[in-house]
Amino acid sequence: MKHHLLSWILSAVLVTAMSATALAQTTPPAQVFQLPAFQHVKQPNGLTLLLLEKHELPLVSIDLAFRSGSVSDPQGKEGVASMTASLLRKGTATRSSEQVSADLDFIGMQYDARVDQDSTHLSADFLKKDLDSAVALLGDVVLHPTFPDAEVKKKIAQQQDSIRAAKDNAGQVLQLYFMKFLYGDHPYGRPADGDERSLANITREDIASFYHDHYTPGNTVIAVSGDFDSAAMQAKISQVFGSWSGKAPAAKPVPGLKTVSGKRVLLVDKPDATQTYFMIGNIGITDTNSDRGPIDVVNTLYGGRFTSLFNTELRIKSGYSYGAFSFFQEMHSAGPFIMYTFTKNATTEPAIDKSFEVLGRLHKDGFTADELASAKTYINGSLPPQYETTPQLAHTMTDLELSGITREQFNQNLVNLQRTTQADSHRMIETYFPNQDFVMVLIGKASEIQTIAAKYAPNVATKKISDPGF
Amino acid sequence: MNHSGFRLRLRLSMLGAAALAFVLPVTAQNFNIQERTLKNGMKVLVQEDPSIPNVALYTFFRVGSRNEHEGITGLSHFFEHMMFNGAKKYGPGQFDKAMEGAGGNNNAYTTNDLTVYQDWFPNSQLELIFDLESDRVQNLAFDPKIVESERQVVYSERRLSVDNNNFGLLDEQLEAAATMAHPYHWSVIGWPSDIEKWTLDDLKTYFAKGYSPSNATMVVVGDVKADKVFRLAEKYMEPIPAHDPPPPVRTVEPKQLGERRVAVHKFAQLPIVEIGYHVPQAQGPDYYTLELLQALLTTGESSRLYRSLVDQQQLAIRVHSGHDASIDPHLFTFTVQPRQGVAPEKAEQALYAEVDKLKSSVVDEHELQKAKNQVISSYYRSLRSINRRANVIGRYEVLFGDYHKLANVEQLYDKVTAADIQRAAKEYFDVNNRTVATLIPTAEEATDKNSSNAAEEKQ
Repeated sequence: MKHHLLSWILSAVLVTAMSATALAQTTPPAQVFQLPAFQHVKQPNGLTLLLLEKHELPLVSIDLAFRSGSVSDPQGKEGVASMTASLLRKGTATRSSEQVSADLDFIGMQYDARVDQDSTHLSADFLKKDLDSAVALLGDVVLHPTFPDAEVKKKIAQQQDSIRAAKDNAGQVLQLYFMKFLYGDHPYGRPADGDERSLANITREDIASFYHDHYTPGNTVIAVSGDFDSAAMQAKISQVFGSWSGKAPAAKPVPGLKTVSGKRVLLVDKPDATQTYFMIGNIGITDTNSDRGPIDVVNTLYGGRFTSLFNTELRIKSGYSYGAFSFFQEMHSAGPFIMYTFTKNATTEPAIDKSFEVLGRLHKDGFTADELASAKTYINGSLPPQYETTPQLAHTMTDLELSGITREQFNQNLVNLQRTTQADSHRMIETYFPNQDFVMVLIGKASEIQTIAAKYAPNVATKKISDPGF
Repeated sequence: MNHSGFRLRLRLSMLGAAALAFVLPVTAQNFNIQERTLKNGMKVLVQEDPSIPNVALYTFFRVGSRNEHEGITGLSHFFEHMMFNGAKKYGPGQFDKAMEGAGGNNNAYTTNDLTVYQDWFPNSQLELIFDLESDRVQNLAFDPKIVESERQVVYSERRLSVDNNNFGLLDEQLEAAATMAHPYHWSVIGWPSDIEKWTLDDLKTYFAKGYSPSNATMVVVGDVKADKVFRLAEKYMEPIPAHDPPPPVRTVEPKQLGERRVAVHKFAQLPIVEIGYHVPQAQGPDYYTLELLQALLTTGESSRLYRSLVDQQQLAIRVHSGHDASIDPHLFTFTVQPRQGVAPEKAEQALYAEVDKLKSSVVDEHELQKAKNQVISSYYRSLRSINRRANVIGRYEVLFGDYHKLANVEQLYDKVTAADIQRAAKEYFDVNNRTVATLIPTAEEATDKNSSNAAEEKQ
């Protein structure tokens, strides 16, 4: 593919990032994207319900989110939130694990459970005609899981092997090493899905206790988008989730972090690598940062699209890499800013040099008014397809609710983005993009690149890819 | 940050295959496609859909790695890249700059059979996109410096998707062993030595063969009027002369006469086993039966192989199966990743035991209905966005021969019986029709002496 990875990374980031966009200053688009209105209902037991009808296809998508993620994992037991979510389907009070799977698959329902640092998301996608059984199934796994001990042990062992397998592909684990190295002991430095050792410490009691504390109606947001009638859907959700009780857990504020000062480098040895994969970055922004519109404009030009400065230098002009990207991952506390690329062993040094050179150029030159206008038009044109389908809309609604952003604020951010001036862009660059201080993590063949890594920091930390943890 | 979603197989044809795997019509009239064939032979299909103010414009060229030969393997994929590197009106870098500056986006993919260009843009930019597309099809430039740079980009993509991706690496070995004679023998991205050595003349010859409008179908889905699309197609694409199509692929893969086995020894933490069986092409018999076999065996946690290998026996962390809609007969593959400490052969034998049950006894109606429900619901999902719909319509036209066949797909699935499933399992999942590739992890210490990297550096 021409740039498959770029699209993949961008779509992954944009799902979590609400920092979408605006209009071109010069030629305003005929239609300005605005997120459509949706219904917001607070249930008596504290559950939040968000509804958006969309009738083109006979499908319904649900995103059920909890305001708890891996930062609530007990110390040394990283992966508890993740294991809890993935074990919900492994047996309920009335259905065995196999029965849950049989029932899900018989209606062709897609079901998934994912945990990140700040939240847990369960998604369900099914045909309209199967609405009753689908909502009943979702209710069953959320309200009545039994966490059989044998299933807990099995899932933990499988997850440990999944991590080992993931480490066979540098691109899959690089960001986990990067987060750990950047955030250290801060909760965001702990791997959301655990690691080989932390998972071994998790017991059934840890899972049951996490479930008891965090799976409560006051901690839950359910968003539904698709082919249904809102009044009927509200009644259906009340019927299934209405008698659910339990108080929301005490808020667990995640400490903020200032940018890391100095230069820090970690080299992870993967002795079979013919290509070095690396990330350079620092602490970035929160999901409610009021500058995220203008930041999006600047990052689009810097490393957020194919013609960006970073991709132009690392791919188009030099041929060092198949792709080079940068992104701000917006989180409840400040998430990371990351530049990511990869290159063959022999060009590791010039590719890293070039990456720092473009970062220097960003600070020195910034972007022209024409470039800013191009980025705004680009972002605006890309918005409708990002909010086109019912799974996209359901996920967007829960994300906004969990971040505490109203639809009006979301839409206002698109307007702010459109008003980004050149002065704003300079301020964004100076405030949010790293300059002299950075963290860099490389995964590659140490015997060939160790001396190169040493060029960029006084001390280089090292690990082997087969060492447990990140 | 979640590991569970990553892909089992990284093949260049993956995106298309995923979209096509579950094609069923909602109702025939929902497609409501208008068509026009230009004087140079290019067919244009349009589906008007104003639900978002954007357009998906896909161009399917009937040229892929099956049209290559030794020495130029990977050239179709290389053209996928070169088409973005400058023509006459829009010079190097201008195609992407103009498109992104207009609010558009693009990508492309190459398979064994096709090269597909994808444009996504606000509907106000329709004429600009036609101008961009016609410029590169008619007047592509071949700047030697840019060719050299793009060669490096493509090799980096190969390192990413094959050399440093154990699933991609093993799949390339499996395909090469299973297919001896037919050009599906080599991978879409091409052998490393060909990527390094194809010449400017190779490029020019190949471009003239494959990338003419007469060898293409264009699909436009979104907030447009078909009349306007046809008018622009006549203005921008029709004047481009037709070329002769690529020569027919004559070689037919001879029948396999016994099991073939391939081993890959490399540094890894977990082994992988991939098993391939020859099966018919998209327009041959049993395409829909094979799709249902895939669902029965590996779709969902109630599928037979997941239940047995992952859940009950705990021999594997994952198991996957599938086959691509292809022009010529190709492979149905199974991919298993054994748990740490489980011998790959043990996982392999457990897989055969499950597959054999489909041969020895007839699947019950409830389970068959489950598989049908799975493919039908996934089909609806494949129509959700204008992008995915453009892909499904185009692939049906070029791989299945006629987009009108979309209207019959639901009946074709419905017609598949439990007896068909049993017959197909017996016919295709036969030991003599089988190729097995195993990735066997080596220890870290051995890697420096015996690495694929050493081989690369010498070239």
